[in-house]
Amino acid sequence: MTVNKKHKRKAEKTSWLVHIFFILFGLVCLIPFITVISISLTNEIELANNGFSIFPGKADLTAYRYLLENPKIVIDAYKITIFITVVGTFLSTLLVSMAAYSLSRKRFILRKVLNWYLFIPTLFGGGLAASYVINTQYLHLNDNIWVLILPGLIGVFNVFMIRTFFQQLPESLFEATKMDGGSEYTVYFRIAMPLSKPVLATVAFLDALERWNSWYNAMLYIRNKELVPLQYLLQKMMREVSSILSEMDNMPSGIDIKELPGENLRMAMLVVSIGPMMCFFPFFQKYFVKGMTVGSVKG
Amino acid sequence: MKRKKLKIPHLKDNIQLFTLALPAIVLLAVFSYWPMYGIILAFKNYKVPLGMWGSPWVGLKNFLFFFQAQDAWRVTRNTLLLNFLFITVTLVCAVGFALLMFEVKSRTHVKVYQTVSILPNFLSWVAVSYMSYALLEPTKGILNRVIESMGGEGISWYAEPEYWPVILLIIKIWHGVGIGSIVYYAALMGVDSELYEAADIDGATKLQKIRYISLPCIVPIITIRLIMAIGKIFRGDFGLFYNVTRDQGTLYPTTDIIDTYVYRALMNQGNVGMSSAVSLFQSVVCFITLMITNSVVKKINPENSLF
Amino acid sequence: MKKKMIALLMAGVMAVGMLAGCGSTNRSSQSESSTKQSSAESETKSTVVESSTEEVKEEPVTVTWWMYGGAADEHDLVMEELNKLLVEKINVKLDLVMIASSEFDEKVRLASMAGEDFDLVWTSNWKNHFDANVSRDAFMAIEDIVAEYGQEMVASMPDGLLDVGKVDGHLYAIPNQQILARQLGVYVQKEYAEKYNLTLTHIDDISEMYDFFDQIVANEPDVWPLLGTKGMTLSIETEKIYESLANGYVFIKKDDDNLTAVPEVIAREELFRTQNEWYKRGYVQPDFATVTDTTANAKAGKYICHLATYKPGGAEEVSNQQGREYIVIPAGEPYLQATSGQETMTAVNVNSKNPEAAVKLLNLVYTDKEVFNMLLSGIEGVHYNKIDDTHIQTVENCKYNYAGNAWKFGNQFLAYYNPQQIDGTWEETDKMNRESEVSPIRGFAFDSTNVQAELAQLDAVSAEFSKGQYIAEDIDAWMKERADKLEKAGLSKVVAEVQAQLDAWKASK
Repeated sequence: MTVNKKHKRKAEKTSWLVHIFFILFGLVCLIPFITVISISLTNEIELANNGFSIFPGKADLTAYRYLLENPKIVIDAYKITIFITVVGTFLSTLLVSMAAYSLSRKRFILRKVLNWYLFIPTLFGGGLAASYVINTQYLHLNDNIWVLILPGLIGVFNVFMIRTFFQQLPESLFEATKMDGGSEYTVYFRIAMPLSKPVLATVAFLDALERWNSWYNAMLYIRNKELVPLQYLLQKMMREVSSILSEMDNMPSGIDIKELPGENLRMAMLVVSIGPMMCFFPFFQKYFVKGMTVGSVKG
Repeated sequence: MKRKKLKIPHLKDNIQLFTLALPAIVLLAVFSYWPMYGIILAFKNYKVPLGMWGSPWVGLKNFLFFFQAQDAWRVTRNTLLLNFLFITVTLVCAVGFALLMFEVKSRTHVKVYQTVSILPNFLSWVAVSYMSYALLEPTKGILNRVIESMGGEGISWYAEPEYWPVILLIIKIWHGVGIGSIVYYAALMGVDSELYEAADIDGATKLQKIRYISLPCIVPIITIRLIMAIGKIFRGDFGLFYNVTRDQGTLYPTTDIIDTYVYRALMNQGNVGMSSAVSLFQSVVCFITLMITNSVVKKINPENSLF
Repeated sequence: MKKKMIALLMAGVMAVGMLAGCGSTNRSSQSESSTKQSSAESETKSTVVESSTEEVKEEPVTVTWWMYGGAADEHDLVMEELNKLLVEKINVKLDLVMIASSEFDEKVRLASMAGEDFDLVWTSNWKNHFDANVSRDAFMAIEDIVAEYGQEMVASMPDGLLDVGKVDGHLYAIPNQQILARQLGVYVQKEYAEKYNLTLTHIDDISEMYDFFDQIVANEPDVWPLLGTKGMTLSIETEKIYESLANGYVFIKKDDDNLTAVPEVIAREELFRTQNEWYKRGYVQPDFATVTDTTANAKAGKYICHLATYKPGGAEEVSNQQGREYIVIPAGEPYLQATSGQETMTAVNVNSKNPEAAVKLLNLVYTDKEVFNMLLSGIEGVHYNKIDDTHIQTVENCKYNYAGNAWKFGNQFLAYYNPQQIDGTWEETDKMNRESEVSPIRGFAFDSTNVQAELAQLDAVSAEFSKGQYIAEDIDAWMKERADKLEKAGLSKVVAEVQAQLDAWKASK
């Protein structure tokens, strides 16, 4: 109860200038977004004649109808995207935080070595060709859904971020648990993890976002139509147009422009692909609760 | 047995800690370390039938393509300066944004503001380029229409390279500040609220609280992010520079970076040796800048450094 | 509690271990999750078994053919049907892989680096570059195999066509047959041509059309007379005099028997002046230099004219593609360039395990009307209906139509006409291919090995100036700046290299 009261009292203190800032910034973010939706609802020819506008003159659902003409493709793609996002994010956050915990413990003798071991890959990469050869010829991951999850599972950046948070936790808490006979696993699961919910939620969210938007590996490795994630469908559509346009002058035969997806269709695809992620976000925000961490443990 | 224990203090703990890190070690070994042999391509004249190992060595010949290019200095300079600008300004903005967000006490407001502010991050650079074009287009563009309605003279934005570092910076901030600030906001959430209460009792002003409580608490995370960002200073955001500038040649003097240059130069020939060479060069420069940054950080505060 | 924690952790570790294991060793679980992909293969295998029990035929070889373009919905259905036909005719099966245009180059390059054993692959001098592939030995030399299994295909080609697929005497690719002779044409929307009484039937210079353009500019505020050309491949001004070599950086004069290599900055001067004039006279949209996507405007019919290669039946083809009626005004004369034919070719992957079967199949597609048309248009009655002996009409909501890809698959002249095309188009095209003026250096192929770095730098610089002529206020200053930068990027070295190779080629003749 007291906590509630305190919050209320502070709420009154929030300067209206702060609110104005966020409202203005929000508009700047929102308007382009509404424009995207509006384009997706505008007829292609009208777009060419009148250009973009924030509000569609007359709602035209052609683009969405076209997208949903073959709903199975979109639905399948959704399933794949959701699967790789959920499983990938869960595994990634778990493994990354486990490694981060080890790194944060001063008594871990391999700490320095592991630090380097984790860091080197962010600088030096063997390039696309070598990865491709390994993934297809040795690991046989082509046309396998795990190729969309495994290669990027260890976000080194996230390891270091979580490590930094773990390091800030009071050592005394860890020691107390160990005194009670707890192992490092116990400390990790019962102390470090629960105390770092905000940062874990953040990392999970950023990771989920990246996974949701990833498409490159799908392009390289997936040929089976049923394993194609949503974002790849969108990217393919976007890239296809620019590729064809850039080669138009060279082609010995003309192109059938009717087959090129219009801007409205491309934007509709964008809306379809990001909508769910937006609904996802508030779910993560619930972990952003003040006083959930150190203070709450002490109390 | 006993002697061994003496050699490795907390042996049991160490084993446990090692098992915790093991999955990460294995995954990196397979997906990051194993492919690293691809680096040799930078020194090879690649032939398909001979494979990566069997292709003939050519020494540093693949590097010449880039280093002899008349624009090598220009793109190197652009990459470094623009990235430096982006790193510093986005960092300041994201931290500021998080601090402001921290001032908003109503949960509903925070939720709405945060959700809206991460919206731009969902727009791919291609989509962003449409938006910026609608804004900057020389005749019908919104910005020029505004300028003209105020009696000014429209600027043909896509022909004036000097404006573009700023334009790209603004777009970059707009695109990333919401998402970038989340980490700092989460860090602020971890600050012991008793500290603020104590400060309230002492009658501290808002700025004082930020200066003496909030900022010191998130300095470690700021430092880590800064170091990581500097580790990528020699690699540009291809999508931003390629799409948002519409790959406009007149803008190259200020917007052409290593990644776009190499893309353009090797698009037709697809010479893997040359592209590997440039990539290796980028890695080495990143490594050097990173080591310098890390040692500077270490001097100031060893706790915050990466190694 | 502790036990529970450990159990949870172990479960996590094990799960990861399993994942990693599944990736590295356990092939069966991998194939399980990709059953769909392999189902096609196993299907073909099962039919193999059936047929082999019935007949004493050898097991048919499956030839994988990588082609760029969008995949049709009923791709698998048609392939199944087509394979019955192929097994019957040559005991070979086709696995046609359609790869999106934007991904084609990269996927082909990576797959060939990984040693994948696809058999046939489409190549050209502008996409999945022939030169680049040959320089990394990605294609197989097939002159012997073609001599044995590809005789009909070679016999159907005009003289000298096969030579464009040769490098250093080895044959690396089979050129497809379509329009080969190079001639440009101005395609004009019929509605406007009639409205403004455009009666030209042939031009030598684009300026002959300026009266028409001026009328459009004056009377039609919502449209533009001309769609500019982004690349520099479509140039009436340049092609009147020159033909290009070495990715368009070096030219020679069409009537120059001395074979003097001319740097592109000289050959293209006229072109840039002309295009700059278009910009200044308002013939092209004012922001053409910055526009990256012209599809919406094209669909709305905002460009009255555009330049493209001229060919018999071209107007019908363009009308069909653009969805409105066009006429075409040919420019200049048809001309067979040194490398005409490299625009679309089929090569055999160096890692192919069945090069003979691959060539056999290509030979069949190249010469067999039934096979070729099923590949293009699918199954009669399901995907198309015959109107008469030579014309077909696709059904509504057709789920298989690769007819737009006809020029990428062997011999376009075997294709059925669509209802807009007139009888005799293919014969006329073939005639044009065989009868047009031939380049003095026909058969000469430039080997870029020695100037790879220079070409990369030239590509980077010329892209920097791409479309700059549509925005330059002072075209001379712009051209000078461009010429200087190209010079620094090594243009004269490339010119010298071309000249040396030309001289050697001439001496060997």
